Amino acid sequence: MKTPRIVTAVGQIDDELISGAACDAVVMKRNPWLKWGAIAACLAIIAGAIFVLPMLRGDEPGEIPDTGTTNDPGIVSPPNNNYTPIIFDATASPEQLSGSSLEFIVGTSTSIEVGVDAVPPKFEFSEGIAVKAKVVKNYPDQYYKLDVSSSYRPEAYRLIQMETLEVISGNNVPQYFLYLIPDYVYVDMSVYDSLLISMSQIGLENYVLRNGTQNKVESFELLIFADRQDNPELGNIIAFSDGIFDESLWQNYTWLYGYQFGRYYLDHPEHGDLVVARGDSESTVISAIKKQYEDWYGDNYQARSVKTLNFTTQAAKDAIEYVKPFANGVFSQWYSPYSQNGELIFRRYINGCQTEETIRIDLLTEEVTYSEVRYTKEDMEQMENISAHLAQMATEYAQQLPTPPHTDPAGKKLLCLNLYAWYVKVDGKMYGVIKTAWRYADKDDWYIQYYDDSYVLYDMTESTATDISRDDLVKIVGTRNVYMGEYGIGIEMPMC
Amino acid sequence: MNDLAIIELYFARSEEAIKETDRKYGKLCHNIAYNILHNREDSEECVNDTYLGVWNAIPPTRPNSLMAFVCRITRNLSLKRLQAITRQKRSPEVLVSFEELAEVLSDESIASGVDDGEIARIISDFLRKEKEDSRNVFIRKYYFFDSISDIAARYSFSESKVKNMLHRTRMKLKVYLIKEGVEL
Repeated sequence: MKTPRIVTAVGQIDDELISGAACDAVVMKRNPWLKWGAIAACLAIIAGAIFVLPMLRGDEPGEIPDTGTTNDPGIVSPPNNNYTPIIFDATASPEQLSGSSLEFIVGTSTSIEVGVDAVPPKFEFSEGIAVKAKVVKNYPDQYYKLDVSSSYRPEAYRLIQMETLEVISGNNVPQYFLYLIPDYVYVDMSVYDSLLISMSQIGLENYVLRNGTQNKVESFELLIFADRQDNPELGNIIAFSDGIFDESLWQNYTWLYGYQFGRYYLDHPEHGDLVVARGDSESTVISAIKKQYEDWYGDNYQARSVKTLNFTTQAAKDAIEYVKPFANGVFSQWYSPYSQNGELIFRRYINGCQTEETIRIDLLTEEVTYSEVRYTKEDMEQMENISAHLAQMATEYAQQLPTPPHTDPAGKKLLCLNLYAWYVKVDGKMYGVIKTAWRYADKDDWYIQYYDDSYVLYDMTESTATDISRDDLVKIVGTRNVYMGEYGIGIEMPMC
Repeated sequence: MNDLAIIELYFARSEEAIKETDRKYGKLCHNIAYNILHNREDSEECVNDTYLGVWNAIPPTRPNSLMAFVCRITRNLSLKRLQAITRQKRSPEVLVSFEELAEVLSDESIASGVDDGEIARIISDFLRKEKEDSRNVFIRKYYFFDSISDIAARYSFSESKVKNMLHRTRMKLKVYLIKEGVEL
């Protein structure tokens, strides 16, 4: 029996539609502002595949391409470049910078989840801090998070320094913060008088980011609102000029697809759920947002809070000193709300490359847990800079794309080629690993993808570099960052 | 457990990830598989295959919605298995759903060069513009393959209202697909 194509196509509809129908109760109350965010988030991911990848390979990192305009004023066509991207995970060397602040972390005090059988929240990212803010400074460079394994493809970000003008939802929000925004959806928002921003993406944080434009690692003194799962939720930014809703922000080309829906709902407010309508004032929209939070969450909701770090035990203070960025190697910080009490997790990066060394601080007990593996100054002195090897490999790949070892590329399109590098210390010996990862899809398919990879092992003691099979690699350095699935088969991987 | 935490467990290669996925989404997956296959044993195997698929896919994949991710895999695996089941054993209700959708857009009427992903995008666009209850009823029927009676009970509608809603939505979708150039 053949499955009709439309049945298959219905199986590929967007995630938020599936979630919407799966999670609904008999009668649902929607969170319009945030629903709009879900649509935009989903579409922005698609847009990312179109926009950011060519830019990553462009000669002018961070430059918004000159794209020309369509007939619709305010909407700019996407660029037509069709490069296969090569994405480098680590090419930076740490640079000594003075000053860093670990004063703030963003935490959660929300309690939406109620038992394992509860229906999952409709939009999990919808819990968050909402503020009225204005742009103080746009950072010109591109930044990358220091995390080798968390991302399908490393995402370039821009930083915007914001000033909080009014807190709509949330506690202990600082007056100034840095907003981390994916580069391909970046627009200059300083032209607007004010912005209503939902910080729903709060959850993961990095104070140390790789500056991809200047090829160095930097730490930041201001709190950074990072996103979650690399999902931009730009529908959660509403701009105002002269105190009145200004939809021109939504018309930017990076919002092209999202704006079509936004415009539909603005044209037909009777069909839509947006909290904002044409001609609305700031105060009207703020009231609508507050009411929406109340309707949506009721008594179950406690707004997220920015917590101030104020450790009292010597062990915790020592740990904070130990992980101070650049003082003792480079550490990235991650806040995990999922342990019992919540914890801060730090990971050491050397030469921009991940190591297995972590330090965890329990936020309630202040208990500090150091990983079994720790790197000493002597270790770092004898280490090769594998990010230099990675950069060399990247240059070679730019000239001639490598051939995947386990996948027949015939009939497939190469989506992207990633290079990753990390350090491993085993029984006192140090290694570096560089992984080349290919991701293919069938030519006419965006759903089934084919993953392949290969590895090079650098033995720092023997000063050797060896092409090595996955099985042999795992015997030496373990499975960290190593793909253990089957090669040569299609993996169902929704792009959105 | 929060989806993000479950995904982190997959990245940590912890088998707890599968247990947590099963606790949170096992029932949902079983429902989808059973709606399609109408056989407990086959459904069970599909759900287990789903977990294996998720285990193999994460990492490197980091799904935006774990729920949608597992639903999608379960649905695909179940539909694949359905193809291997003899005609007598197939659920008549699923076959009716197939026929109803094929009336909206038959394979033969699809414009050349239009792939399934494009059709999915246009259907998503269409559904977003639909009223919430119509949209969800449609998805419950043709994505999750719920029965009419289950949908009626879920939304406190009469069965005839559900049928009418589905009929109207299908007709509107047909027009939309023609307008978008998908259907010849």
